Amino acid sequence: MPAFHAPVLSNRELPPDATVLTVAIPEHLTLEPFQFAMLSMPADANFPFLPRPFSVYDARPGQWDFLIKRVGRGTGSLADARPGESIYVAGPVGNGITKLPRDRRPIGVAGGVGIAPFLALYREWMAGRVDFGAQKPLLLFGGRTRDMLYDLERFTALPIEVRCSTDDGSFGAKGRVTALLEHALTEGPADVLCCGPDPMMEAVAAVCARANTPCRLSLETFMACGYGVCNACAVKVKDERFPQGFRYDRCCVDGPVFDAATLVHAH
Amino acid sequence: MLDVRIGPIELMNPVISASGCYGQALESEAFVDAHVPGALLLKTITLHPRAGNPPPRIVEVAGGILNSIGLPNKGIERWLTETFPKVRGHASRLFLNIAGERTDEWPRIAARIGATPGIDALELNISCPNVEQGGLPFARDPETVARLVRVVKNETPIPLIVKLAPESPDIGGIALAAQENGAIAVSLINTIRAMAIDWRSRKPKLGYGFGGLSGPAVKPVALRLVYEVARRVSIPVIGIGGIATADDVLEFLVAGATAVQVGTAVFRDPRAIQSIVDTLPTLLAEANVGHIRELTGTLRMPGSR
Repeated sequence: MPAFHAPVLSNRELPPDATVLTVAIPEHLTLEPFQFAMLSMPADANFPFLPRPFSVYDARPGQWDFLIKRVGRGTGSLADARPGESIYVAGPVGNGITKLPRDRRPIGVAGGVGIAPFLALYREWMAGRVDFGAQKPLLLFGGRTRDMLYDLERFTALPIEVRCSTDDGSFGAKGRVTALLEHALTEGPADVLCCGPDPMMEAVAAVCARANTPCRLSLETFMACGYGVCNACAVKVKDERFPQGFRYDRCCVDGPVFDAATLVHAH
Repeated sequence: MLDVRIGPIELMNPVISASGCYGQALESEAFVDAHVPGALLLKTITLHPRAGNPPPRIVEVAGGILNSIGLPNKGIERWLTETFPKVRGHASRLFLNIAGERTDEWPRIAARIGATPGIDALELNISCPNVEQGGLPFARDPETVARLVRVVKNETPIPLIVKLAPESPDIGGIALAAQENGAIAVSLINTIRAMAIDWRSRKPKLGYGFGGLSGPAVKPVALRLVYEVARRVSIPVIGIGGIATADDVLEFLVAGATAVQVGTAVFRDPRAIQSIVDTLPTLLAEANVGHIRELTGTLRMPGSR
C-alpha cells in the first residue's frame, strides 16, 4: 500500500453537509471496490492528529474520488480542501469485493454516506472487473431526509435498479431502508452487501438472518494507523476457541467487509 | 556517522521502532524497508494469548493520542512458531518486547525464548498502563525491578532492556536497579496514564476507561526524564516520547539518550522512520557534528559546571 501526497483536483459540494473530493493519485494504482484510504491534511500538525478512513468513492486512472461528510474537525478540514492544496493519502487498504454469488440477486443496502463504496462497485461491475452474474443489481438507499441520499442522481443513472427510503418521507418510501429490504428479500434469492450507520447495519443483519440470506457489512471504526499495526480498530468476531466466545479482528486489514453472521453485534 | 552501540549491540543508526507501533513488522514493510530502522522492536508478547481491551481503544487529544489497546497478542508459543519465522533475519536488528501478567510469568516467557538465535534483545515491558495487575506496579519499586531483571536474566542469555514508566516516584532508582542487575539499557518513557471524558454521557472515551498518552504532547516530559535518568546510570538510555522528526531525535540525544524509539508518529505517517533516518545526516552536517554519538549527553544546563 503506498502513501503519498495527492493534489486536490476538484471539490464538488453536496449541500448541506458533504462534498466529493477528487484527488490525483499515481497512475498505476488499482482498486477493489470497498477498499478505503486513510486521509489527512498535512498542514494540521497536531489536531486532528490522525488520518481518517474513507471508502474510495470512484476510481479512474490517476484519480480517486472521496465522499466526505462533515462530522467534526477531521472531516471538516478534508471537506474544506481546495484545488491547489494536497491531502495525505495512504491506500488502498482492506478486503475489497471482486465477486458476488452469480445465482443470487446482489442487493446493496446503503445508509447516508454509507453509499460511498457502492459507486466503485457498480462501475467495476460495468467494466467487467467484478462478477455478479446476470441479474440486475438492486440498490436500496436510505437516508434521514432527501438531502442525505447523497449524490442520488449518479446512482439512478447507472444500469441498476434503485429504491429509496427516507425517515421523513421527503423522497421514496417513508420509513427505514430495512422495510425495503424485507420486501426485496421476498422477491427471490439475494446476496446482501451493506454499508451505513452501525444501528442500521445491525438491523439489516437481523433481517437477513431471519430470511436466511447471506449478508456482508462494511464496517467503520475509529482507526489510528489504517495499515494493521496499531490494533485500535478492534471488531468483535465470534470465535469459540476463546473462553469469552469472541476474538478481536482489525477492521482495517481483516475488514472492512465482514460476514454479518460472524460478528458479535452490540445490541 | 549514525552508528551507535547499545551494550554489546551495534546499531547502524539510533532509530528504533517503538513497541506496539510497528506491529510484527510485516505490516509496515509496505512503507519502509525493515532494514531501515537501527532495530525493529516488535509489539509486546505475553505468556498466554491476549484478546486486548474493548474498543474504543484509541482517542485523539491535543498533540497526540490516548490508547488502551491492551497488549493483544497470540502468546509466546504461537509467536515463536508462527510469527518469528516470518520476521527472523528481516531486520538489521530484531528486538522483542515481552511482558508478564503475573510475577511468575516473566521467567517462564524468558525460559521459552531461551537462547533463540535471531532475537538481539528483549525489552521488558514493566510499564504498560493498560494491563490489569500488569506491569505498572513493577515499574514503581527498584527492589521488584531488580528481582525481575535477575529472574529473567537467569533464564535467557539475550541482552535485556528495561522499559520504564514515567510515573515512577524514583525512576532514577529503578533505572539503577536495572543496571546493577545486568540490563544493557533502559528505555523511557512508556505512555503516561491518562483519561479522556465525554461529559455529556459521563463516560470515559476509551473502552477501558484509562489509557496511555503518547505523541508530541509527551515529548517535554520524556526529555526531562531522559535527562534525569541519563545522569544516574552509565548504561545507555533509549529515549521515547513524541519523536516525529530528526530534530526530535537529536534533542533526545543531547538530553542523554544513545538511541531513540519512534512510535505514535508512524500512525500519522507510516514513512516517518524513513524520513527521520534520511534527514539525520543533513542535520549533523549542517551543525558540523562529525558523528551522532558526539551529541549524547551534551546538554548545557544553566548553572551546571
